Amino acid sequence: MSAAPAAGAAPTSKATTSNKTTDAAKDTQPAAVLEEDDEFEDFPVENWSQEETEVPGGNAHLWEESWDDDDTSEDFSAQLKEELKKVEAGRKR
Amino acid sequence: MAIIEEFLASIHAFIKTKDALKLQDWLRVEPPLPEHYYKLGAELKAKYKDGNVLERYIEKLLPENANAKADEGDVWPGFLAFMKAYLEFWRDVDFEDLLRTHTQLSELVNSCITALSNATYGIVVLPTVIQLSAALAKLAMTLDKRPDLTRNRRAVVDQGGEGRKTLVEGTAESIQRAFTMCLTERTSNRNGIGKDGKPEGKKVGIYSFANLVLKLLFQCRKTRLANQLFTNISQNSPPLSLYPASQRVTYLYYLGRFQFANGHFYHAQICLQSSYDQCHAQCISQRRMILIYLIASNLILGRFPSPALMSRPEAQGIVDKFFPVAKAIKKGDFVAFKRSLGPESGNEEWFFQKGVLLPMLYRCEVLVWRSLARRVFLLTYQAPGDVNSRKAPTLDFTDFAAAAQYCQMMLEMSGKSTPFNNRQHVNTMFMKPTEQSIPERRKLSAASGVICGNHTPDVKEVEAIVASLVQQGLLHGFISHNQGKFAILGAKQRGGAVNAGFPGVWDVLKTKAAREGKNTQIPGWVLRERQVGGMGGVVNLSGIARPVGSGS
Repeated sequence: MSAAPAAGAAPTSKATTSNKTTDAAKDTQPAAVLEEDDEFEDFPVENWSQEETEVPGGNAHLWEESWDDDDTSEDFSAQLKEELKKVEAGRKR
Repeated sequence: MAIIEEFLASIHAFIKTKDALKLQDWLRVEPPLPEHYYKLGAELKAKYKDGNVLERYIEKLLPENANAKADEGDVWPGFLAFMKAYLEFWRDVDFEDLLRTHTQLSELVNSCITALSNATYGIVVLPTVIQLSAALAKLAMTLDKRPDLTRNRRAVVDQGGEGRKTLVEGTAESIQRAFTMCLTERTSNRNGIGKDGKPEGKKVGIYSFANLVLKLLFQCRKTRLANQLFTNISQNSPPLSLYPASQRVTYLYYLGRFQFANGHFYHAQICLQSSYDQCHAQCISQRRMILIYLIASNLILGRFPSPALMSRPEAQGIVDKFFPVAKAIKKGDFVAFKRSLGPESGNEEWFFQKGVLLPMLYRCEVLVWRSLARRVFLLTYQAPGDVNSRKAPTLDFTDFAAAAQYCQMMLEMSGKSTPFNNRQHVNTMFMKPTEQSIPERRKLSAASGVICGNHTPDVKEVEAIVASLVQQGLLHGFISHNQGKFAILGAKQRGGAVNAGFPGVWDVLKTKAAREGKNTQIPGWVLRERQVGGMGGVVNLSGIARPVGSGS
């Protein structure tokens, strides 16, 4: 399988169809309300090596797994605290 | 020498030398193309209007070679029919009329797939089928975005009378025929791997076609039809790792999205992470698409993007949409959570378009409940003065209900200053006076409330939620219904009441997935060579040849 002809042809067909889009847009609503990246684009090359996938920093620390927030001084906690005080007061009554 | 004669002579030479790549390079349809192709079209229009005359001419210039040597290729009837279809395509095509071009190209692709089916020689047209199918898929995708062009299209009604199919779905079905042919080809090595360690014969084309079919099925939002494709791949494909990187990454992206759409977030996360890891570093657009679903899956599983991920170029413009969701989950802040996914965020439509809104709304909510319970516990629990106390740390349901009620009230109060925000009927005739008499409270849709709409959560309901969290392993302890409390187990052994009662979400879900074997076997992803033999060579092919539109 050769990627060359397919890769070469990819941008060109867009050129042909986009001309048509412009024509049609004149008399109808523009159909291209879709986002620019709604489609998973074809890759410009067929194959690549492991080295070519590597990005600075690597993929080892992409996710936070321990994220529990113990800070009870922020707004939401302060407001909750007020509510809970009312419950506490109700219990004592 | 006429162009057509020269063209067929070259094709004949490629067939004889089995030069599949040259054939692919010559049998092109996608503009722009060298002037030669248009001249070929003009010549065909002038001389070969009659299909029968053209057919005889092709047979004359592409004769069967009765004395072909073993290593030589030869023409076969399917190929002659395809060549006729190809020349007729160039004779009749009008690239200005995209819809008609789609019909003509569909016929050409079908004819080429039939040529591919020849067991001896068919493989020489495999790269050509891939190229033509890719052009057809691209055209179908273009047409799908142009309803003005397809408005008058006659619906393609299949013979089974299953109803109308969209142009995109019909195209997917055509290409799936080539996919099935490659997947089910009988190869000399039963596992489909040749001596060179590569996929054998037509099996080399499996993922090229699968990816085109998947692209089309996702485009027409008929992803459930992909089910059969994934099942068949699981049963018949050589390992995915034997295929080129572009095919692996694309396939895992679609498989991950399929798993996501079906609520298998752990599997989705594994597929998408692998797709992301294997993606070319400079293909930012593809990395970005993968990342959208990868972040959504991870959020649901209790993993949030790290600062390192957030600084990546492909994350720009995405992470800031997900960030408020993660922040709200961390705090257990229902109001912020609903806002982060609601119209106020400005991202609701975007999340919806990507197909991640509802899964996040319903699945992440579980994590918000857990964090809220944790927060209420942090605010209310007082450790006993006696270190040796055997009393279990508890969370009182009255407190938890009060917190939930507070969140509900805040949701109903928010945005009350703009009267059109409350989703009352625009026609005042239908507005009841009672609704007007309590203007402070906003009418909430079912998904916008803490439990459901304007329903105020009570102790009984929060107890049910705690029970559900315990059952999911997200809270560790037991419920005392009589006392109206949740009691934490193992506070001393597990480093304190908070750590013991509220284990990390990701740790819990990962351990659970590992226990269920979810990290070693993923439907649709062939990781290892198939074990063959021992069953007397019986291969069950039932269901494989089913067309894409026939349902599963």
